[in-house]
Amino acid sequence: MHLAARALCLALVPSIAAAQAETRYPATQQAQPRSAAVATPDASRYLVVACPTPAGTPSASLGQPADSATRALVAALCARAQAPAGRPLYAPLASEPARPDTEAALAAQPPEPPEAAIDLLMRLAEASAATDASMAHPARHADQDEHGDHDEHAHDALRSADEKGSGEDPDAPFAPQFKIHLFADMKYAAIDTVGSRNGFSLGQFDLFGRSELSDALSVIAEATLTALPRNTFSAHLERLMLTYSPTDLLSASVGRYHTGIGYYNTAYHHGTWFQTATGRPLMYNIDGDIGVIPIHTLGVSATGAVPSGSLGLHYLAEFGSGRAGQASAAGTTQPALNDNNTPSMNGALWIRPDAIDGLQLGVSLYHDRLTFSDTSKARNDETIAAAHIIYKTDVLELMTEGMLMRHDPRGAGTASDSHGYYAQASRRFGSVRPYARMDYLEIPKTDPLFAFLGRRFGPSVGVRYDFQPLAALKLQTSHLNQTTRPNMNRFDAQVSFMF
Amino acid sequence: MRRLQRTLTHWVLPVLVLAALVAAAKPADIRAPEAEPLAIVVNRTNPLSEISLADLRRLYRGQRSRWSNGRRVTLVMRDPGTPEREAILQTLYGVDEDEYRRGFLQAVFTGEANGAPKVLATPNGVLRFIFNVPGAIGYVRASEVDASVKTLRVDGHLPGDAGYRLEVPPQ
Repeated sequence: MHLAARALCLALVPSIAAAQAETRYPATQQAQPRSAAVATPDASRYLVVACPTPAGTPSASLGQPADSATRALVAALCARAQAPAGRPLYAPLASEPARPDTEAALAAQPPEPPEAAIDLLMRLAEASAATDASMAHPARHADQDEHGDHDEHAHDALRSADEKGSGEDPDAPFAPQFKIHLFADMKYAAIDTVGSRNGFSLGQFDLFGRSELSDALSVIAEATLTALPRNTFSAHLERLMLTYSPTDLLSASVGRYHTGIGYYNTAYHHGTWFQTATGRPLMYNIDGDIGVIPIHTLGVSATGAVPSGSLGLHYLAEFGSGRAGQASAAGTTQPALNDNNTPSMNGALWIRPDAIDGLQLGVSLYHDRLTFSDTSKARNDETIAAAHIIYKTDVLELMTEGMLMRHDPRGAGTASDSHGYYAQASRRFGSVRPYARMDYLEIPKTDPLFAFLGRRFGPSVGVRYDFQPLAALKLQTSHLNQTTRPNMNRFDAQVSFMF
Repeated sequence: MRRLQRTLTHWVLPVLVLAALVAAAKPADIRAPEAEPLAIVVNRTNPLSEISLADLRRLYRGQRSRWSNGRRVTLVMRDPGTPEREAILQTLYGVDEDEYRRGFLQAVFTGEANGAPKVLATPNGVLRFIFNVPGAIGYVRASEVDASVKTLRVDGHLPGDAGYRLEVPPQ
């Protein structure tokens, strides 16, 4: 077996040498080698050698010690490549040629590689695919950078390219690599309403992870720990999605995900570091802050690009559990389990036209059927229509969204229409980004779920200072008019970061 | 009227002439060194030979993740601070380094992007990686391109052609 392998390896040497004699890299270009041991269509392997320039010194490929045997092999192969055709390209295995000591002597030697070089050739040819990829590239020279083959990045946060996932060695079996990002924030809040307490608080600790299971299959998981009064924390599995993405036209997911209503709910979520402001708009408040939108869905979803040229059209379709059965208030809007038989449906379309870089326009339509813990209440059809216009560039951020939410008791009464919007503008000056936002949310008294919220609206102004690439300080002051509660003024200082 | 004419003759006209001279001389005096084209390179097995700048933007922003042959796109970037990377950030992303980092992390966070690009320190590293990875796309100075990779036409232009829009300051 070993002898056969040797013979195969030696048989490949002439083809490499002949190819190198024609042009600089033809053999390597055609065979697409990935390492020192190069796979060919017939599953055999051969070794690619970078011949030095005439003034250069023969050397081994980088990543391997350039011992005398290696130099001997390289010199012999290169000399053979430049030799006239028809000369013998390898010696019989049984022969034992003399071994020259110097490179000058090597050049004058017959081109047959010595036995030691053959051994080396065998060793390299049989090396695992994990061998330094630099050996495969013909342009690599030992005197060039010693760090060129790494994938180091100044920031670990971006150093998440999955070697397997990137296809660097596509024939190798996939090994899942779970990449984790952590987000957190801390803040000081001063609120002027009676009963409110000013002071420091921990925000939300967000653990986000992603793993590639195969070229087209990935998993996203996100869990949060949220600080509550009396030194307690609530833990939530916010997202758990298994996603299959065979093409750009389809990315199908199953699990718990952010409902694709509007823009903000999927673009920004638990990692406050991403958000310009300290918190979410009123209409996208999460359950702990009395949100009105079903911000999570448990179910299946499909999204992708629609071939539309410069229009940049995308679609989203979701089919899930919607709000929990027994929904009675905002606290039950995000089910971890589907506990009713009335699935929700959501569809969205948005465009990103090439003509205006940074612009996104979109609409979405959500439908669900609600049941209530108070069984005397009729079931309601819930419809949420939303539209957004987003313009984001390096400097400017303009976002506005509107939402109309209808709860229809299906003939048992009149429908109640709630609506909300927000508009946010910010401009970046270096590391500093001042911003302003106007929020509005109006829930009619007839609404079966959120009537207690009434009308709430008010401005917020603030400034975000990115004092480090992955950390930001935000100072924000807000005023909130409320019809069902006293008006409120508040000041927030928040440090948010990822690591 | 005469006073106005004198003012024009003595002050305004000389100032305009001087300004015109300065404006004419300025480009010659502080002319920036000629920029070098930045080549977009892919693996030689990639069936693509031409790409539009808009599609290139989509690729680099993670909005398109597959090649026409179904193979997954693997983005290659140079280290932060390199002129080549700055040129790509400006031309394809329209942002600076900090905004790029935040934007890409957010794209990964939302699930829109598959993962961060492969970051390599040298042109040789870029060429070698693209040579080895069939779905890879990257960029190097046109003068650094070798035959181990394929150079894409961008909007119908090869590096060095008139109208080629990807440029980097000379080394």
